[in-house]
Amino acid sequence: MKQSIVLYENGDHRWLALARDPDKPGYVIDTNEYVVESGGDALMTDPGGMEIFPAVFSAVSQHVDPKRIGRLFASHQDPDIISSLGLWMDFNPDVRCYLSRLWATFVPHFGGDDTTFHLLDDAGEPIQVGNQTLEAMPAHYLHSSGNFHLHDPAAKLLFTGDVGAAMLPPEEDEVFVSDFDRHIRHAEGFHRRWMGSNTAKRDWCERAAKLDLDLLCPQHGAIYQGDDVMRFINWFDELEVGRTWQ
Amino acid sequence: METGLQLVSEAHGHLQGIMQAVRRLYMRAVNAMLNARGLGSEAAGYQAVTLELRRFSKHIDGSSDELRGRIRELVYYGAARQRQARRLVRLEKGLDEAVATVASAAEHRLEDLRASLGRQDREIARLAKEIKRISVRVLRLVESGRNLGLMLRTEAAASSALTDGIGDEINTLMDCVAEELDSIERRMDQLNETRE
Repeated sequence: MKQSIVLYENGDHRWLALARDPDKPGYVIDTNEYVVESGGDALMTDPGGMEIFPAVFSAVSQHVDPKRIGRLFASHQDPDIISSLGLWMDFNPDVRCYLSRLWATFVPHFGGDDTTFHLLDDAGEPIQVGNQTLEAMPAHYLHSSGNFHLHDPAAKLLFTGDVGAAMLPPEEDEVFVSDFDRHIRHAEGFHRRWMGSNTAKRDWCERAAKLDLDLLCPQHGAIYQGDDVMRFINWFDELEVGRTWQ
Repeated sequence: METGLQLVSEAHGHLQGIMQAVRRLYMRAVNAMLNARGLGSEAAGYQAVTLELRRFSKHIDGSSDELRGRIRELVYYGAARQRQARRLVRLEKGLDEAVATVASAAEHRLEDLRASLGRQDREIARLAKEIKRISVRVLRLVESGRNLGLMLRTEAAASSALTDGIGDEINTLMDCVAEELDSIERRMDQLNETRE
């Protein structure tokens, strides 16, 4: 069973993280899913792949009536991000999915049709969840050419998809980063290889550095909190990306 | 039409109602027992019943936890079954459109998926049966809870100092648990009907 952790709670405004499934088969990459709730409304970020749907569905059910998850936010088009879409739609045919307009005809291969998607233009846009206004923040080429992050100013939380992701060995499989220097070694190779553009990376770092953030929440690996958020942004800014390991 | 996963998810929703009522009962029983300690010997009967209520609350809490464990398992199996069923439907659709040689080569995969779906169905049926069995046990406990509520009302009536209304409150909580159990049982029956 995936662990569920409340990251932020203020009245009916809550962020929940679903992470670390001890029963997950080794051939599937570990993922973090996040649910934001406000005013009876709920949205899930990067709901994951088809393979992990049972684990995500049962973990989310412990805290939120899954019928209330009326919207999904897909940071990009990869299978570990959104290939479970068809299964969420089997459960709730009214579910809608936020997604870059670039993937309008790609992601329906996983499920849905032209009424399923709320397509985001490159500049991003505000997303209302109950009483909270979140922002779909452009993060194109990090790593996907049509890529968005989700910023919640009230919770001071930024969901960053693959940015900040780390491939953690089982013995360092913590939910929150506790030792930045040790942790970031597991993120370096991934960021160098998967993030394709230094220009896009610098632009993102400049924008992210201006946000007032307590939590930076990637889709893989551990969550950065407090001072580690800025440490990560500075580290990423310095990193040369768009190259192979060697 | 309700899908299996919807029924399972609804049953989980009703479980939340039971867990809330049981938690409230537990806290109420602890408080009643502590309050009763400060009363004189004229409330000895009331004290004895609150002690029993405390024991009872632990007992129903344990059984509800067991119910929660099985329903959580059922939610997982329900979601896994939905995933498998989707794979099967896609493969069947693909084979309908494929040429005969490809279709026959893929037939064994189809058989594997059908067999796996059958195993999941049996697991779901087993869990649904187990959940009904635990529900019956919890329902019996509900009756004991109502009796304790009645005894608390009787004892409270004997002493004007005991006007905290706990007897009525216990009955209301037991009614709530019974209603939620009934809803869960109906979903389990529906689940079995959809599998038949």
